[in-house]
Amino acid sequence: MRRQCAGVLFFLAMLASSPASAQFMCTPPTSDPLTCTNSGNAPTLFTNTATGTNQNATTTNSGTASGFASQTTGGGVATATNSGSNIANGILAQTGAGGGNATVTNTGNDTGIGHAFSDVVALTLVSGDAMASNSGTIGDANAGNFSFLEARTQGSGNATAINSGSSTGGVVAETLGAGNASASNSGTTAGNVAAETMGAMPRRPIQVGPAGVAAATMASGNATATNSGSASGVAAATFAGGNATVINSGTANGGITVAALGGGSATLTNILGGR
Amino acid sequence: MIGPIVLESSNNTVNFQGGNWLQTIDTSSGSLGINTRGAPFVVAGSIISGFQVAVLDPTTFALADRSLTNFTGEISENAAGPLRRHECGRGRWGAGLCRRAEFSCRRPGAGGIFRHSLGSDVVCLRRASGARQGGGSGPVVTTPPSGEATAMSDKSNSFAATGSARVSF
Repeated sequence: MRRQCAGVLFFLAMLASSPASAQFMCTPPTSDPLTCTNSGNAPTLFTNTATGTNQNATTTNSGTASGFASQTTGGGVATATNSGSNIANGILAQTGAGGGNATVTNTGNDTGIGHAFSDVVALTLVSGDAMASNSGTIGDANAGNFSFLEARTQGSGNATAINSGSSTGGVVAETLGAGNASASNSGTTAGNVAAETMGAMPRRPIQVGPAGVAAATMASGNATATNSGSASGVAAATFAGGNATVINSGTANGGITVAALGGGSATLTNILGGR
Repeated sequence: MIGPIVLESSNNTVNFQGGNWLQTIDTSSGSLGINTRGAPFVVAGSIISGFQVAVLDPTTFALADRSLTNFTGEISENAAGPLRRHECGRGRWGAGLCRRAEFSCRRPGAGGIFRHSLGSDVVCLRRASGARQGGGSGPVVTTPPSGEATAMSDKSNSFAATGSARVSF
């Protein structure tokens, strides 16, 4: 009986230090940042949540993961980094009610299972900037998996998505509140992404995309999409004010859309070498 | 660039920063500002059909861009040259053309590669055995065992003929 109780206590202690997976090892819950790392094989989805005031959350995978996330609810910064292999469920950095910036970085491989996407996303729900970058591989076109790279702010803050690797589903930056959106590609994109219209009503329905690189602002702020690599298309759109800009010096095989429907200007810049 | 180019706002602008361009641009509002940084350009078309913009960049920047493209293309074409090799009597080289090629190769001072009147290149190859045909100081056309001369079609591998003189028919 005593041995059983000791075993239960040990198990509870492990749960406290490693909320969802034994493979992601975490610092004590009150540490700042609350850091969780995996260098082995994590077979299940893992979420690292920092709830303290301005407490940051950092999650890093250099092994094999099946999806992981960093999130904060008290105003801290959420950071998720993958340099290993993430085989399912995607990678997410998210900040909630307290605000804060969210940053997600992939330098390794991020692939879904079959058609189940495994997106790499930086998301701020209330305030703060969202930054998503990829220099590795996202998705697997041969398997029909078009996972994408996305930076998105739903309250205020800028959204920036940068791809220098391969993102089969595309690269998208989107702000639903105030803030600028910037998406740039110097790598390759093969899939389609489309900016959604939420909140602000466009002058008339418009499909922004499909495009391999898309930047959109729904309330205010400028949208800039830059392509110096190979993209299936490039699009920038503002729906309620702000300028839309596309800069292309690469290959765009899906057309170019530049739309400023709320009174801003639409500018396309072709640079030598653009195809 | 493949696919439509759509600009939709009350103030549309297209900047061309170097290079030669031919683009058809659709603008629903009908206004379109164009900035080519001084390069000459022509605009044609309408709102319905789209504006067609042609930009001619006379600077060396555009030349460098196209030269790079041409260089890459030449490499590709030259690499594929051996695949387009024709032998006299078997490919599109007729007997008459082969005779002219053989005659030219026999001429004193004729190089190993030259361009004939159709714009193709002819390469005079030495017989592997070292036997010469026609004598004289000029190069010879290789004569395979079948007795057919060998020539290379256009886009021949100029690297293989480096150092050879080029003469015209």
